[in-house]
Amino acid sequence: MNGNTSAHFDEEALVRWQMGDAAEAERVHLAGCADCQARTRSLADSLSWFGAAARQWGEEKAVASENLWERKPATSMNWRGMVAAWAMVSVALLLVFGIGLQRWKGHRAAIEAQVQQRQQQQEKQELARDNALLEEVDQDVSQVVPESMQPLSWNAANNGAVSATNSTAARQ
Amino acid sequence: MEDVIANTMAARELPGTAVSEADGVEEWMRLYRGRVFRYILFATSDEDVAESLTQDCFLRAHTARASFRGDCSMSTWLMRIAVNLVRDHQRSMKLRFWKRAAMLDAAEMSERLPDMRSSTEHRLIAQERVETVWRAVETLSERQRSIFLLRFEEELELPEIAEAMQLNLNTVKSHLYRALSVVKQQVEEAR
Repeated sequence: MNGNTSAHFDEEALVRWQMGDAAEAERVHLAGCADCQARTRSLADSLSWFGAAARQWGEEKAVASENLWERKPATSMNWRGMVAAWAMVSVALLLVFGIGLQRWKGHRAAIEAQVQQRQQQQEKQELARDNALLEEVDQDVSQVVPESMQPLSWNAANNGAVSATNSTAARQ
Repeated sequence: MEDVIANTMAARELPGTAVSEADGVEEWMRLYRGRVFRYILFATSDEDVAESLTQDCFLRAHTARASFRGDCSMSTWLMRIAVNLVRDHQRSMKLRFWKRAAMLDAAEMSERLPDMRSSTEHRLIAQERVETVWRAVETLSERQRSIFLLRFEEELELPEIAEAMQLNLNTVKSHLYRALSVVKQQVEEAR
């Protein structure tokens, strides 16, 4: 058609008009040409009906989908709700771990104290045993001559006395 | 050019629906969920996928809200995210040999025509046309189908579609011309 307002729409112009890409001259021509209006009407009506039905049907589906989505408990939260829920879960986990950690530390300190007490008792007992043993050893060591060798010591003592008498006599 | 597009899009935002990133994802969902869901539903023909991708769309928007510079409308920005999600989904579906068949019921959709104060015969003709258009749309390539839906179902202007699809305006026109030619041919054959 190429801008000539008197020429009827060809197939290309008809499609371009439906697209919304018609030139101003084509619009002017269509407004005054019953023949071209009749030629465009069939496709224009079809597209208009299609658009209306699709929007209506799509809208119904969108609403149904939205309602279904809202009914789902797991997905019914909005984004703020989800963020809040995650924050609450995080805080709860931190609390659980925090309290657990404190309790565990207290429990551990009590166990360590018990172990230390037992070790101290054991050390005392061992010290007492060692002291007793040392006393026995001291007693044994403090005897000058072992009991089994006492007769020999007596002889040595007597011999000493005899030899001393003899030497005194010789000097005299 | 970008200013012109931004101004055009800003002008199309309904009064009271302009949303800044500070309004939060809840407000975006309240305003645009239906539109995003609808587009994804028709682009993927799968309600479950549409529901899942719609949630993904708003999650991504929320995550990337800092990158929204306001050089296009919020709805166009969301549609761009939706288009990318649909594209990724369709790529992943290509790898599956058991690709799911179209699940949208054309007859069910055609019954949702707005109240037409006309004869039963006229209404039946309209329903048949809706089914014909949908069947034709299903034969289109992914890109053509997306552009067609954004134009005739979401009623976006051509520059908005180019912005949402991140395509050159002439590329959008070219794809839409081919898509519309296919639909036109099917409609004429069905008459």
